[in-house]
Amino acid sequence: MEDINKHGIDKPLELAATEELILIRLGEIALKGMNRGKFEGQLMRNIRNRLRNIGKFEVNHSQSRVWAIPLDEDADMAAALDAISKVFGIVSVSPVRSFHGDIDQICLQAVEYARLLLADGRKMSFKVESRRGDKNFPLKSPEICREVGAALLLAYPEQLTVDVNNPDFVFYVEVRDLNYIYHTVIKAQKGLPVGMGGRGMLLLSGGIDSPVAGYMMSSRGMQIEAIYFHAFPFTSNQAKEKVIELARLLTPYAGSIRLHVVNFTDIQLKIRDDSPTDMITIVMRRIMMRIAERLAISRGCKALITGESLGQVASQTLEGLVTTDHVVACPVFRPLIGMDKDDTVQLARKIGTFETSILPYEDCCTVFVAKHPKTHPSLAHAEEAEAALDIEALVEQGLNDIEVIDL
Amino acid sequence: MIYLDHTATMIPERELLEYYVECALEYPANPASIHSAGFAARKAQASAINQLAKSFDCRPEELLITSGGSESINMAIKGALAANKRLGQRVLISEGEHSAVAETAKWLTSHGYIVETIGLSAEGIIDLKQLEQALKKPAAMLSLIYVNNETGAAAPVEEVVRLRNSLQPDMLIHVDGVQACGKLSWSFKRLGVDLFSGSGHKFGAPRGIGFLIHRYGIKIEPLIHGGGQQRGLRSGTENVPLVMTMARAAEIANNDLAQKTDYISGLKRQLLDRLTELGVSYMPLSPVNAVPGIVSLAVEGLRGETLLHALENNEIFVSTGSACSSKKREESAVLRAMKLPEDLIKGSIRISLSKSNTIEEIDTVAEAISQAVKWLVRR
Repeated sequence: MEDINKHGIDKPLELAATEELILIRLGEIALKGMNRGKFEGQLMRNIRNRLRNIGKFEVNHSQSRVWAIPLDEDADMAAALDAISKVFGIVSVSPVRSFHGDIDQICLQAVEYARLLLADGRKMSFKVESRRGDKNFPLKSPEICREVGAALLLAYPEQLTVDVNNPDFVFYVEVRDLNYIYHTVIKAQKGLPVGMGGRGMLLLSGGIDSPVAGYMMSSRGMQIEAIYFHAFPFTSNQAKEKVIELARLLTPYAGSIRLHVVNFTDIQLKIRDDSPTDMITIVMRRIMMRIAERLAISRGCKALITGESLGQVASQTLEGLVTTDHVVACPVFRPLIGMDKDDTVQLARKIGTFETSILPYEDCCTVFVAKHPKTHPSLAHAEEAEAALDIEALVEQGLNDIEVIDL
Repeated sequence: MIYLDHTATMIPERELLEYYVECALEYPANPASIHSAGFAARKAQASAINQLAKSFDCRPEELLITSGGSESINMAIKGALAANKRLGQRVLISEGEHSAVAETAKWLTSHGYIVETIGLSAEGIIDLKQLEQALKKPAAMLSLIYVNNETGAAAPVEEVVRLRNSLQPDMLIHVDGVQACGKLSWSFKRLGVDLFSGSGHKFGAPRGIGFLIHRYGIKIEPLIHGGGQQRGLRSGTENVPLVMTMARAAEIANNDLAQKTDYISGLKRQLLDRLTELGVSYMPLSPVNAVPGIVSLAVEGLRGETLLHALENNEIFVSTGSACSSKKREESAVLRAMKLPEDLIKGSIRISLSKSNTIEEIDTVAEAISQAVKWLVRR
């Protein structure tokens, strides 16, 4: 039989071939000047790294947008979206459908796209928003909106109504080199691409705060490594596993992390035996800072990061912080210093570290805590408390007994 | 591995697990089925229950099979109170109860019951003077732990029963006997209590099975409704091979119990003597009347948890407090009720011994504790 659609002006339009891809919108990077290219390059490398375990994707950059295009048909798009939405430097991501064609094709595709949204017969309100990047396209943005809106209403008169103020979903149409349609915008983490903000060494304990501090510095583009002081058997091996897990939970945001586990037991015993009980915590923290700084320098990290918050515990008073800072020369970043605990907890929940942080294994800060630790130590106090210790030997001992775990 | 945590769970013997497999293959049918395979399973189960009744010195029709200690305890307390409302809403427990009882008591409180807690003596057993005082008023039930899971202290059940008989003869007595099975010789008939809960994996059976003995004539309401198995008191298809395995485990546990207890007492003596010889400064927390298999002690200057991890590094496995509550990381309520000082409570570890442990193992453990002390305790 002759194909009647081959001729005739009324030939019903056929659906053009489509492609599913991910649209990635940049944040602060877009404000950069001369070095914008560097930031974008780093961001694309980070996205590629994160997608590596999910499937084959091409990540490219065009028209101030970044695109992730799956190269396998069965690529896990949901996993890819989730992974990309955790990469710093991105404002939002959308799964989009692209195709060639004129306004009729766009309308046809819109109707087809909406079919899935309305599959269970539900009633929804919507509005159409469009952008016309291709200025040669014969219709202007408001006209595209009108045409697509009319086509959708005509196709689903029972299910769809227009609501421009508070719609159940927004139907987005973008006309560029190709046409793009989508209805989901997933908020991402903003910030700057990791790798653009230098390298920092995070003092990671098993608590709620330090992973959040790591997340925050990472969000400013800092590449982090982590150091954990393990005092077995005062702290259990489960406590160490917990810290490893916390570092692993940060990797979707921070990228790969090298975790240095310092065997701290004998150092801690010497501190306990040879310094005044009420100063144990301060002395311990001063030695931890020294070890962390030395390790940081050897690893090319130019700053230390801690989860301290002013006044939260006895050692986090201003005097406590001054005495610990005094032993190091590099800057110590404390992104939580002015934050309320509730807000830190909320952030920990958001990034997914909270549930692991509250597992009940002691960290080495809590084991030897004096009943009444010094809350306002002076520098002289701290130095006096260390007088009986061979500090250099203890620092060396720590640096010489480190297990490295790459996450 | 040196396993010294038999109170948390006993490692079932290979032969017993093989026996389970044999029974499972030989009696695969549902015992409620009316065909001959079902009948065979029913008969095998009846014989296992007779065997259990013999081991526990109760009537077979007094015995219910459950999923374990917690279920038995819940059923004993909630089920018997629900079926005996005429006895009122006053319930007594001791301060030394396992959380299965203590939490059930909390539930009772939220459902209109009045729960009173009787303190412990310095020996870790229920304070009989306080109990006598409490029995001046009528009560519906007393729930009492037989052998304490943290200290090994054995309650004077016969004396408690005598008090009840003279002061409040209507009051029901439930005994949480989970840690008594396999550790001391007892007879349901002679004890004179009304309800007795036990758990298979504490005396050598696999996990997932326990029992409740309810004295003939004592009514209880079921917790689990359904197909009406076990006289309608505990619905759910019976696991015939597991019942058979528990019966075999109970029989083995009862065999030469006195001899085994002597052997375990010897291990305990050896442990304490060796520690003393090695100059370890420790305080035994288990009272003199405790069963020998549960040794609670505190080593001076060392937290229980720290010592536990240090021993674990040598493949030696012990507990702090009770394993079931360790996850919550609360300090032992039982040791606190014995009015022990804070340091001893924090320092407590529980070493539980069984006939499978050897003198050589005990020497190794004492040596490891001594090494840990040398390494970790302030000089």
